[in-house]
Amino acid sequence: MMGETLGNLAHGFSVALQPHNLLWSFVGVLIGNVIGVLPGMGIMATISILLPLTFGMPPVAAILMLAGIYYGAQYGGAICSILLNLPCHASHAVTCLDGYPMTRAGRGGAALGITMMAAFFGAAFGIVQMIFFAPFLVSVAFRFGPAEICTLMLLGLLAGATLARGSALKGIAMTLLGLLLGTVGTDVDTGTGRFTFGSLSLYNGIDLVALALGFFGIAEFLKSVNAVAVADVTGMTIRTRDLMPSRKDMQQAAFPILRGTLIGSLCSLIPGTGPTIASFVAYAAEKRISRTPGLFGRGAIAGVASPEASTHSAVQGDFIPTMSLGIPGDAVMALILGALIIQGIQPGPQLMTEHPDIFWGLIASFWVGNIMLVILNVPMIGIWVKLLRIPFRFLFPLALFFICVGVYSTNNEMFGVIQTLVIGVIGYGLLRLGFHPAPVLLGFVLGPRLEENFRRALTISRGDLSVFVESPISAAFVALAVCLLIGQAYFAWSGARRIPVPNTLSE
Amino acid sequence: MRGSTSARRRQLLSGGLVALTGLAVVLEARTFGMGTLARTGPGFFPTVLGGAMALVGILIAVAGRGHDDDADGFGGADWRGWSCILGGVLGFILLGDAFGLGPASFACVFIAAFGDKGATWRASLMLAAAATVVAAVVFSWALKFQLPLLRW
Repeated sequence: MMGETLGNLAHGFSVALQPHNLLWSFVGVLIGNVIGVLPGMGIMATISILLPLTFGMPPVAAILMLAGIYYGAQYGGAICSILLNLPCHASHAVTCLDGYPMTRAGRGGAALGITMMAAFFGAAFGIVQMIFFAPFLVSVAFRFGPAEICTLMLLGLLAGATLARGSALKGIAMTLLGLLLGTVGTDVDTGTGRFTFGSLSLYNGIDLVALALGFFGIAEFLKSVNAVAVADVTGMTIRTRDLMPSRKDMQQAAFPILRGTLIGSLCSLIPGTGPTIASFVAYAAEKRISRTPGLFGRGAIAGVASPEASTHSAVQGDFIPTMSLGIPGDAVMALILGALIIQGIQPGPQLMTEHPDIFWGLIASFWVGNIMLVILNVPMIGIWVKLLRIPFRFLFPLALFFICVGVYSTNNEMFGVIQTLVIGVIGYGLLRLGFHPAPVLLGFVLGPRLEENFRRALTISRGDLSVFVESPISAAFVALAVCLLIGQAYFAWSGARRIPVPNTLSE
Repeated sequence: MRGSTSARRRQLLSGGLVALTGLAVVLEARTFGMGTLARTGPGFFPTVLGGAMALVGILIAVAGRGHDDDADGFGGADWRGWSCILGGVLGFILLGDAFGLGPASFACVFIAAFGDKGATWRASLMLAAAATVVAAVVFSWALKFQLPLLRW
């Protein structure tokens, strides 16, 4: 087992270190880091804009790059939170609480240094977890038939809808909307056009890029225009040597980093509770067990170290259900899964054996990418601080232009841009009514596979609905889903507060 | 903070919209052919989803007690920001097919830039020019973008 894993990992490194793949993962982490630093720019929008560019690339390079954007942005996001007190990305919002007071006290450099250490440690743990846990999940999932796949997806979707931010009911409504949007177009079994309303372009279905950019591009900009604070970084210079934390700082941060990492890795395995929730849980836990809780909010180093470590371990762990079961836990993972499908690769447990290049190459590239990120961030911190000065009013018009070009290039027709515009307006309306768009994307990406397995299971059982509860595995998934619903209903009625996640500029 | 009446109204509106969408989906999906349980037709899955959506919509309208703060963090109406962003994309759509990528890119960025309250003519022109250069060099020349740079 161990030897086999090491052999696979060695194969992964041989893939990830090919010059071509190395270059694209570097491009990915670099773009991610830049986007993370820039206030008001979203990871989702960036990945969707670049998605059409990857259509012509080999699948391995495409996935390495898109994944690099995701974890690269986590390194940049912390800089924005700590130095500007701007919660640029939800998963770093909590870092503001103690990171910014440290900056005010002239210890911003130390906060960033500790963040880098926490980030690398958390990420490393998340990757190791993936190396050992994902093959185990795959071996279990190989015994699944259509009924099990169907109920597992249902459970994943339900968890994604109800455990994430906002009202559980609204989350379920958005998941259903996503599933329905996924049915638009030609039915694979019969060739019937569904919800096409006579439009020929809709027969191919709704475009993933148009959907993602409508909800996470245009709708986000409609929300954040004139709402992003102007950054004041005058006189702020951070040099590389400021990043070196003192021995005392490191002693104070060591255990919080460890605890944060464990919380992050646990959260990553539950769909719907990705990095953002992990960072809030880690912060709350750290404050509770601290001997000096009064220091939190006034520049406690543990308040930076623990949530940052948990974010990074959750980000890497996020890939586990996506790559081993084909079930994404949040919108970014749904997009990466969508990229795989566009490349013609069936996600699911067979991915690891059928495409070891992608699976192990991705894991190896996580190591390479995280090392590149530390190298990028530590000596070049001065450049990233300068980037913070670019005002949002210059960024969003250019981003809008990239959105138009990106969507146009997916099918080389203006129809995609029109779709994006319409979806963006609807998406903004939904945002204002308190609906969060992430479950839409989850439903959209999983929808076709859910329907396929649902119908196949019913065909095999000759229309007997009890097929979904006959096998113990499937019954367990259904039972878990029911428990989840009952639990949610109980909490809603008893009025218990959810973990408060403040609104941030972008996902 | 808004009063609870407006929050209550928002829940009713949200739930009503979801329920109506679900209902419309059911009506449309039934025309695709339901099939039988053993051989489900193309309308079966969407009908189930639509039905579930109608149910969830009713639950949101009835059970949503308006104490959730999901819609916080929004300011008042920002007509300038909204119309410039939408106008920028619309400009790209209208000019793109008629005059090509260059004019479309210029218009998109130029219009959108005015969405910010601190926008100036000079900055907007420079941004738009920069985007046009990127469109010409990166997209048209290097990436062989399908839409021609200029046409009329």
